[in-house]
Amino acid sequence: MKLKTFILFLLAFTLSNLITLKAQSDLEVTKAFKSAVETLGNDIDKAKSITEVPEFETRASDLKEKYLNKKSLLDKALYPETFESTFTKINNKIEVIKGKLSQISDLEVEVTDLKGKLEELKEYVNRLSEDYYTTLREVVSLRESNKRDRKTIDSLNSLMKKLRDNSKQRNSLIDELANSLFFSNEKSVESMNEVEKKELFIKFKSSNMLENIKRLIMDNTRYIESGAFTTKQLDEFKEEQKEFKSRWKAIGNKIAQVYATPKEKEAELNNVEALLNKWDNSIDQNIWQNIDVQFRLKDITLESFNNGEGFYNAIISYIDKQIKNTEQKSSEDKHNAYNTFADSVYYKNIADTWIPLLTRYKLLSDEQVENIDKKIEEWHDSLGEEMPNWIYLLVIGVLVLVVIVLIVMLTVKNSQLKKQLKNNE
Amino acid sequence: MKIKLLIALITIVTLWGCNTMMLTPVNFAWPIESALTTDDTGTISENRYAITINVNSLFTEEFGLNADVKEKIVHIIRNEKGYYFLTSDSFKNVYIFVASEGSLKLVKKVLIDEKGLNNPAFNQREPNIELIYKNGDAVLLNGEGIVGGKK
Repeated sequence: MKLKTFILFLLAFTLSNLITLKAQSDLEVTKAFKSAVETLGNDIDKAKSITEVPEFETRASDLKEKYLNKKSLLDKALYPETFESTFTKINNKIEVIKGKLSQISDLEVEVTDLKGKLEELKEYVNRLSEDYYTTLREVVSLRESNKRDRKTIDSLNSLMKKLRDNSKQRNSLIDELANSLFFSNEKSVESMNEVEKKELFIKFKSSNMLENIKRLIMDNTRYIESGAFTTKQLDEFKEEQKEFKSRWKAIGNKIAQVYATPKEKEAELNNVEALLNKWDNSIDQNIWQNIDVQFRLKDITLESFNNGEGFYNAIISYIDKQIKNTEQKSSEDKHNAYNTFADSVYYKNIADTWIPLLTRYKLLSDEQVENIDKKIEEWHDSLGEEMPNWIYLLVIGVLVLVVIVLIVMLTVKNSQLKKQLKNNE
Repeated sequence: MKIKLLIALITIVTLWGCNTMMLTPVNFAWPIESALTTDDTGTISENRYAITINVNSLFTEEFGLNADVKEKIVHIIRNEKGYYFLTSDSFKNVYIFVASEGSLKLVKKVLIDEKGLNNPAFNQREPNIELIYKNGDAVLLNGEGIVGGKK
């Protein structure tokens, strides 16, 4: 009896379920499918880690299975897409994101490595800076000792080389530091949000990068100020400063973007800019002093100069004075003054060595160089013809002849006198 | 008799010449209904099938002259024979039309529910159209009216 009741109950339940089995709108099915596909697509786009990918693959396959019995409806309803093409697109999307995320995952590992490297670099740069000052102190004490023996000069040269190498090493380390901070990130600074920028700013501050840049520029300036250098060395310094400046431009732009307050940013960046200009100016001053020394060595005193315009004016003014003074000097002195200036200094030590450097770095224009040449030529023209050598020879010849004639005459006269005395005896 | 035969012959030849070409079969069925929202003028547009219809008259027929036609969802589907089936929420009827020159011509107004339809939707169930309403009740329709289902 109980079994019959149970069967009846089961039948009634099944019938009621059959009766209440609801029809479903094809449009709603299509909309639900489209919405599920869209949500999956959006989730794939937002994925941040490679670990999420298997979940997308499962969701895509579940979705396909769920709507498989609606395939013929969806094939028509999704026109111009089809059921299959929709899943092909999803699977392609998953593949693309998989590639992208695995790349990011690699980069994350790289970033972790870089963080460690950053610390190492920071330490290394600090250590090098300390070494630099120790070496510099040695150089100063050697210079102050006023010793001029071979040993002192050799050790001074080797210390200067050490300073130079140290500076070069720090330069490249700062480059690495900047690369680690601003150019090796998975994201460029420009596309970072405020939080990411803040994080980068903290890293940047803790790396002491800006301090190291400033210190390096100051040390380079001090190094230049510490002695006289050859044209080749100064050319190298100029080039190095130019490169550093252009690198700073790139790094400075990145740094500017991580600063939260424009005031702080401007103060810091302008400070570096001022130090860079000082560095450049110290090289220029070294060049001008070197050029001045070339003239002083030959006792030529030019009006003091510390830039291209000043140098140009000093040369022109010196030559002008020399041209005006020609009347008060003897021809020989005039020629000597010209020869010393033009042949022994300007065309020997300046024109071929320093002028190319000056024009390359726009310290002197080609037009100014041309004008100096013209002025020297004008000076030369103002001297007039130098007495030819044959005149000197002729005069000497005549003098020699006169002396010979006199000697002959005296000898003849002497012999005549001797004869007369003999006859008188 | 000869004259009669001649007339019959002429008639046959003339009728033969007037015969219009027919392409057949044609299946006009839309795979799924479109649920389109009326604009301020009571017009609906279906881009996929490139059809634009002013449905003001339908709302007037259902709700009287003061019927609001703005932003109403109209359900529309076409069956394989080319009949258009239209209805909307709270409509009592489904309207069956055939395409005519620049218009849709009503062929049948099918009463479904005196109380008005709740969430109506059409499905293509060739050769019929399925209307579902009241969250699941369904009737089958063709160009002549209801052909099956629970009403």
